[in-house]
Amino acid sequence: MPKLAFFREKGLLILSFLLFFLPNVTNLLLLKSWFPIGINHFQVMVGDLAGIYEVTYVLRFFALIYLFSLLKNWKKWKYLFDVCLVSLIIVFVITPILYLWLSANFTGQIKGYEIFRSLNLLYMIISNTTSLLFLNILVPCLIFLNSFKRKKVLSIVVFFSSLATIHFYSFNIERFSPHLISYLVGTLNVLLLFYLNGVFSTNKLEC
Amino acid sequence: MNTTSTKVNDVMKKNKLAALNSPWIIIVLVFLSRICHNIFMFSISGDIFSPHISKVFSYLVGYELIYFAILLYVFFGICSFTGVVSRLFVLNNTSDRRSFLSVLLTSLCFILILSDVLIPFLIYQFSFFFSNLLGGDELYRILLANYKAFYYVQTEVIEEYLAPFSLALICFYVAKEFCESLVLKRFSFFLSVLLLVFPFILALTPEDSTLELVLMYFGYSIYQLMFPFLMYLSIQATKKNYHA
Repeated sequence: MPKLAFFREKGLLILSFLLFFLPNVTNLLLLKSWFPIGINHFQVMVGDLAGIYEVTYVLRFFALIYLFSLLKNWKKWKYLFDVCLVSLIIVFVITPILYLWLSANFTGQIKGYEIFRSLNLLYMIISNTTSLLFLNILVPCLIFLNSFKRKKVLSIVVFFSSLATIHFYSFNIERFSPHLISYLVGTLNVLLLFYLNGVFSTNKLEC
Repeated sequence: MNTTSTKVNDVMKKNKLAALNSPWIIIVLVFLSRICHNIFMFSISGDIFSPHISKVFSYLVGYELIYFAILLYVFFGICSFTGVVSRLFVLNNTSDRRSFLSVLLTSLCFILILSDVLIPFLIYQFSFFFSNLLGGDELYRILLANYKAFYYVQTEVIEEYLAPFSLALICFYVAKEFCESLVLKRFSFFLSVLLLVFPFILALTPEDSTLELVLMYFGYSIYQLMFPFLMYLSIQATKKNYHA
């Protein structure tokens, strides 16, 4: 492969990983937190920058699609990968945008503390459910199906660590560590999928 | 045995080609599926977009079955559009990896189903609950907030950024790789660039002004017309690939 094409491919891979984590970095800069936090904090910290937030999530959407386009063996596992991709789009793009918009727009508009708490609770439930359901159950199961034949021990370890996180999962946002562990294991699962399907190896790309 | 399978393949190929030789019916059907929701809303409420949540149910009473049939038709329209365009990607792919554009098309199909079928259905349900509540009710305000959040995802995120950007990228690729006519190619590039820059132009125009309204309707028309145009490009390209 020509040198230029090699650097282009690796450069795009690194760029898409960076773009994927861009919303978290923006969170870190503005809210001093890796994940979106309570609704009232958002309104104070984000202010008029909600538009920039939206664009970071749009970029994450395209980065995710690019990363999934690098997976090999697509004819056999095409539909499993599609389900994986759709689940990740729901968890990482659609739900955070819903939550973000709610926090950035409704805090100043809706009077009354009770309605505020109800909405916050509702979105917390949606966020927790989608994270638990997709990131810790559906995606690991699909990845386990795909990777079991090639890396038995590794896939068993990652799969059972996902199941373990479900046991420790807490719907109480005050307990931060279970969420962090769940997130790390989810990331590990996706990295395993990329590793086993040749994303990190150099190959000709079609675009 | 081999001769039989070759014959079967030939017949299948001919049938597919026959379908591609008269593509206008499917293009028109898909385009109608894109705008039938707007036409229906215009016929019952006088506006092409859904009315306010508190009024949707009062307009839809008695027309529920037609509304569900329209949502079903929209769903099949999205599936047909994806099927026609994806055929080109499948034909042209020799690698063991999928191209970025084919995965993008899958995601586009998903977000279109979410935005044009599932969210309108959610809006109908919200509206149904609304019809039983009073304006000052706490539940009314909670439902209103949720409805606005879903409506925001549909209009501001999917219809403004994700779907137009995906369509523009796919159109750009199809025109660049397969289009032989220079005029058509340039026109496709122009439409793609227009779709890419439109959200940013809208963001710069003053809110609630006439200019914003005109630009919004113009952008929405281009967005809806992009579907039949992209199908036309893909069908032409697929026919050439078959013959090649």
